Amino acid sequence: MVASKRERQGNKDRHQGFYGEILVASIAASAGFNIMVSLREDEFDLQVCGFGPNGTSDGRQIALQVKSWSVGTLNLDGYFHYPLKVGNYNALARRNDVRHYLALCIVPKETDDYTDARYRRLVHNHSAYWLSLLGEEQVDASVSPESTRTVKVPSRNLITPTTMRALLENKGDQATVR
Amino acid sequence: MSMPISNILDVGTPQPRSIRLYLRTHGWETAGLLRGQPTIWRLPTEDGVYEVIAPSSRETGDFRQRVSELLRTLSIAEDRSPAAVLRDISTQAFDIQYYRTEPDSPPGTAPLRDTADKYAAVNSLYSAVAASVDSADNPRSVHPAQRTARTTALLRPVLAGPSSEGSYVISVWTPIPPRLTQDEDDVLFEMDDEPDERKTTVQLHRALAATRSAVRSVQDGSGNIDAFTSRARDGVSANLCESLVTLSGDAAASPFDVHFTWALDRPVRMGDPAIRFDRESFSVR
Repeated sequence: MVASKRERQGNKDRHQGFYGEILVASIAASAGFNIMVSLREDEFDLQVCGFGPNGTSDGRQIALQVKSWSVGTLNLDGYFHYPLKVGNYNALARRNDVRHYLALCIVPKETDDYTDARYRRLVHNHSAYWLSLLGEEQVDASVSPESTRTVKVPSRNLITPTTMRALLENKGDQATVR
Repeated sequence: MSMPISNILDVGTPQPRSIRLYLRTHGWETAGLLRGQPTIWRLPTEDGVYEVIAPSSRETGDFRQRVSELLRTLSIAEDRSPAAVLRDISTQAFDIQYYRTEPDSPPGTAPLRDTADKYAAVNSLYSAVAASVDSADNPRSVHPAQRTARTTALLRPVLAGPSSEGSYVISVWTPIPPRLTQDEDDVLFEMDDEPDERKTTVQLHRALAATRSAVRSVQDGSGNIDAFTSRARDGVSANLCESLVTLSGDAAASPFDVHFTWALDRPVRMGDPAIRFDRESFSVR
């Protein structure tokens, strides 16, 4: 049976979304952290945390809402201008006990270009950037959660093992690159 | 197979204050409490230092996630199910005793006839202890069948709770008047001016511990019947011993233990959370 165009697009979106999550997870693993995947779509996608005894997590934790974007380009102002759904925006802006961040993954348009695996090198294309919306005013509940609000994600907020560690240690001011 | 934590939380989520009380009364420590802020609590063990984040409020977006993770870590650190941990966090207003019997039947079941007898025995046991609280100024080794008005009043609010994990568990819940304020910053452990409800549950613990001690002294030859009669002030009585024998089953040959949990709203420091009566206990005559 031939998949419809809509089904093919849905599969591509899932492929792209999953790849974005794994890209971020691989950076977190490189930084020495554990990953937990959320089963509830309305909360977060990944939780990154330190290791505790017997498979538990320790007190260092952040939650990430991962969005992948294949058509995103860096603007002249040094920011990615990403149209974030209002439902996601409000989930990030509301008060949480564990800090929540947007992780915006800029990925290739073609899925074949996601990963370049060689004998002595593995490259994931392209990169992920973080943004905190804590303290931002919530969008009114009367606005459809499917509508979008543009957020500006600075390119200096590149997620690397070093900046990931800074986020886990609540040192957001050190979680940037030059 | 235990129930997933998310399903457990569908039944009900605990109050953040109850969680903090639970942690504080179970050996966890925090660097400091900031009103309205999440706090990291630590429990040093041989396996390493466990850490949990106690949620600040039910109003936060990630409250369920925080509780879910906290239950998971506590269940691993305490080596019991998340449901059992949640139950103890959520029953902050009750002193609870779990009579864990070991009938020869499939797990979670017990012969109906024996179980009816055992519930009656637990009621008699509690009644005997309440009578000993009532007669504290004049300790008795045998309590009359006719209950005093105060003993009856002590028994009235006591509840039979749900059974729980284990071979077959009878639980008895006693509501305890709270002492802590909503701030719960001054956790005190003095025993002065305890309410009658708490005096009864403490006396129950004392009576069972004293009975087990008397049994051991008889078993090792260092004591005799005086080991029991001399402990009347601790709540040991013929009525209580008879109830314990009934709890051990028809042939007085089934071991059981009694596990105590204490109302978090009124902290108390007691020894052994569980008192066990093995098969040999009932060969003492």
